[in-house]
Amino acid sequence: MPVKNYNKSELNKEMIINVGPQHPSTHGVLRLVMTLNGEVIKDTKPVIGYLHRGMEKLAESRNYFQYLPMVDRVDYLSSFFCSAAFCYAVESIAELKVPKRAEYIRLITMEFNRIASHLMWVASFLLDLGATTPMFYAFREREDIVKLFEDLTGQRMMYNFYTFGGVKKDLPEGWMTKALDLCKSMPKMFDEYEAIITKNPIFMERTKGVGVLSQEMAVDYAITGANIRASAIDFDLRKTNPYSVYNEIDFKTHLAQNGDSYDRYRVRIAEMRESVKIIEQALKQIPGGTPEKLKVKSVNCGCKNEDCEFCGFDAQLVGKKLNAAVFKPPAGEAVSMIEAPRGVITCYVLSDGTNKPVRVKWRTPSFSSVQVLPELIKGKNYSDLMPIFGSLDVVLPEVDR
Amino acid sequence: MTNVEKTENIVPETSNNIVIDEKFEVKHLDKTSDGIEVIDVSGDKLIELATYLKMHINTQFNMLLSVSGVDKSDCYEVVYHLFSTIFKKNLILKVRLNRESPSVESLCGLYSAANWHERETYDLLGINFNNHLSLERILLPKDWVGHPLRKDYVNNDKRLSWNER
Amino acid sequence: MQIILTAVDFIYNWGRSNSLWPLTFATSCCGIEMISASAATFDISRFGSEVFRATPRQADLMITAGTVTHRMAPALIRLYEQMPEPKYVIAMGACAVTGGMFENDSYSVVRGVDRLVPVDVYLPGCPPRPEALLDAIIKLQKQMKTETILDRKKYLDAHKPRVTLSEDENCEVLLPNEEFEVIHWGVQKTGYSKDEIATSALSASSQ
Repeated sequence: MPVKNYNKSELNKEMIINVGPQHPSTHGVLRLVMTLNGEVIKDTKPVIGYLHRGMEKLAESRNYFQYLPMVDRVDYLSSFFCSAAFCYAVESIAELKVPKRAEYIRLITMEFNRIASHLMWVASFLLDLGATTPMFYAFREREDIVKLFEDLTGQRMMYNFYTFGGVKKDLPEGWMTKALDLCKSMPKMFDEYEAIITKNPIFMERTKGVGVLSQEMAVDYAITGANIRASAIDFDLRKTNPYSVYNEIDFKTHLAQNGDSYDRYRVRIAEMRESVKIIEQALKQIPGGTPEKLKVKSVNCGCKNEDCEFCGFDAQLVGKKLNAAVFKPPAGEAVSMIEAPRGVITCYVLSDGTNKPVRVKWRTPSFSSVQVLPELIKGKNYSDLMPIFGSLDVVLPEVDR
Repeated sequence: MTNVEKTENIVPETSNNIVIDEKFEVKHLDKTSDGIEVIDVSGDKLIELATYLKMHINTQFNMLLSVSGVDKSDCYEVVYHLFSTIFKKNLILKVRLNRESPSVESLCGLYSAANWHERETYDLLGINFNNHLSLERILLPKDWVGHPLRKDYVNNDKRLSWNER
Repeated sequence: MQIILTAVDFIYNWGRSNSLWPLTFATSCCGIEMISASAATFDISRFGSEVFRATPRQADLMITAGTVTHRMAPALIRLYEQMPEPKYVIAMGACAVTGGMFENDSYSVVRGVDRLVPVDVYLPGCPPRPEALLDAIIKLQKQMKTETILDRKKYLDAHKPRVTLSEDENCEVLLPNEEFEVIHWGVQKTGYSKDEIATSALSASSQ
């Protein structure tokens, strides 16, 4: 049968396909309506809102203390960071001072959470690209960290551990030794799976030069976190506007030059190693030392002096014991910015003197990352969708709240 | 047009103080509890002020972190959080709108990040943004009626019948 | 008749229950515990769930892990209808069982997945540990081993979705399924009229 003469306009028909809300990559429920011309993507329209639970409205009918457990669920992979954002904002309004021991405990748990979140990202990024092995390696480390959190807080995932003015409980006995051992063994584990990923020719070919995020686009779309550091902009809130005791810890910010997916991977691996160093320093510098030593010394010392290292203000866990039923911060507003694993989380709290907040607004980094996605994949092949989308580190409950 | 003075400062560092001219009709409100400056501006001067703050060499607020709406009992308020990656400083702009027909100019031309944030504010609070590229609902289903974050919102959507026992 | 078929039933149920392949339906936080259950520490493939299928056409177990909102519900129904029989549902996590911490006054969360699909095993927890998920799968396997081929019609009748997708493609509302009366505690009644919704106490107090 002779081949019919197709004219070019018939061949360039566009096709609309739907990467539906349920898809095998673990980012969550996001829907992309894509217009394809063959294999080349012409346009994408992300549809979000499949996980909108109304977190901001729920804050208006609850106490400050009653809202604390719900704050963890804004982003379940970095729940210590969301909790910290809310706690810092309310502590600004109510002018509560946080003792240093509590700040160090907050810092240690936040950095462990950063490592756990990046491990989850490595697992799901490589699962999207088709490699199933790194998922098992990454989850082996994640289980170790999650066991530490379970000893500390009783929960594996949404911890509800921070309170206004400090933390709820002290570290259990033997926790610091276990944490130090884990910190010593983690760099070797990172080396193990870096050996199979970083110089892998398939991985390099799929991610090098793909999804380049230019500096102007990044600042225009308010991209923060490791995504912008991979485009050579030095913006790390832990260095520029330090919030907890980050100004007493010595660490570096890692930047990369090109801004493609491979660089975002390198930056996150380097950040994990840096977090291990931060935790080791913090465990040595924590005021009061291990909880056993603190108990013994405070009983022996008994001086009740404010500056004493063992029985002063800085060795306590909570600045001021608050009554949860009648906690009424004065009227005011505050914004707290926290450097979470995905970017900058901003929590804007507005209070009018009653025991319920008037408005709580969460600005989450994944919202901006999904917004920039159509710009990054315009004109690329369909097979470049997953390297670009996976490297942006998007978690959907953050987007929808 | 602009004087570099030390008395009336927007950004409280000695090297980058500017004075906002009278023509912008701004009002300095109290700082937030952690020391961030708050400026109240009227709706029609918003774009001029935002352009001025973005382009001026001493401020360069090049990142719009978020746009949020607040339902106060007598008016609506739109709160813009600006950030400067050069000087690492925050700034808050507030615009008051009336309750009957709240509408304000959109900042989509200046900051691309404003696109989705304004859609979300429209979706949850019903504030109209003029000259927005595509103002439609983003978080709730397309046929939802009402704006949930308003204080007088009554949930009588037909999907409520699923939640009955 | 049943006496003749006991051996066939035994082998049939044994084959089905020891190779349950789940569908990845991870909406929210419980999804991470589901993935942890399939990783190396708590291995789910010991129990037969060797792979998690991404497409519902090849899966026979749907683990709804996470919150289901009003916008996601039509997608859930469509996925459930696409699964071939015999199919089972585990409602994992507090949000899927009753709506969880959003049950009180959230405006966009469906209070429990059993308003949409029939559920076989309810698994509470926020989030449930991976060992609890393995316990739920074992219970489901025990239930599957008590079934018999002769009751297929009864089984198929009980496993229809509780709501139907409306004909209008632009509208995302689901309608109650007229064939269902109240089957057990927790299933919605059929046929709400608009007046009943407007005057019900729930709409006035859910602010």
